[in-house]
Amino acid sequence: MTDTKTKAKINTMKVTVINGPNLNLLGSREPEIYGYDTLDDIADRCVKRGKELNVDVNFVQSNYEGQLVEWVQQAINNVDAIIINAGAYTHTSVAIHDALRAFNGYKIELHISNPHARETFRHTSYVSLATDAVVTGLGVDGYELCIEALPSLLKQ
Amino acid sequence: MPNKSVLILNGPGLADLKSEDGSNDLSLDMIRGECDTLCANLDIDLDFRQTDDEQQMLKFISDDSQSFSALVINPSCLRYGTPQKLNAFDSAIKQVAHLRKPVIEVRLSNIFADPAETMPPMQGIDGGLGFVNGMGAAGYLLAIRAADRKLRAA
Repeated sequence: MTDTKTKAKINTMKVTVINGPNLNLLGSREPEIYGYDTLDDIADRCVKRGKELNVDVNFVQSNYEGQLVEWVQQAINNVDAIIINAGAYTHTSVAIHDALRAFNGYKIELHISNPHARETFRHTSYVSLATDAVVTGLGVDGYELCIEALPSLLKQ
Repeated sequence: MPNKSVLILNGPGLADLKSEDGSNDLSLDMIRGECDTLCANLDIDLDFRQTDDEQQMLKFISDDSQSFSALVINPSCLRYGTPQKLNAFDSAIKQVAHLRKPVIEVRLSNIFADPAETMPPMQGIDGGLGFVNGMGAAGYLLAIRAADRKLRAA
């Protein structure tokens, strides 16, 4: 069986971008921290950039922990990479951590702000323990930048 | 518009990236080469440096970075040490961030993969700086692209 990272060299890469609770409020929630772009704006840019790079982007959001776990499980053996901004579940969810560990493709934890620069309860991440990479503090640009990095990351 | 320029600093030990078992074929020269190519494409002047010397690194951050529009830094083990050393290092970084220049920390491997890891990413004067962790050489390229976006938006 061809593993996901080898398949990525042959076919269009597939990535699921998973967004957790309250990210549907982007653009109106604490814009001084998260900016004025809505999640739809970001999704549109990621899909567009993905098409330019031959990366098929599935961009999803839920406020429910179980739904995030479902999406990670659905990605197993079906996509090459996951980019996950688990929002506040980053700091609490062993279930998401366990699901990510079951996914053998490339995994990036993403945050718009830098959680380590904020309240101490945001300093622990169960997601970081299960991902290959972590990108924080680059604002909403972080989403597109991670998409742009995927082709070379999957060749490494 | 003035030329965009990025200073990339690499801390102690990064001149020799070979792992003990020889499995790591990545070298700092390879990373430098990839950064050179990307910066040429983005019309960015690049200065790529490495030092094992803490005082020299502090000088690079405090003095030399003044003449660049963005700073990318892999501090390596400089994020560990006595509180005095950490304070000096953090103060220098905050000085740069205070000038509203993009500052992005890069780590080759995921430092959070080890649950015993306690050292947080560097902090700016009013919160987080950019942080790219665990992407190997690609992390440097992502950081350059991130700095380029910020400079174009400024």
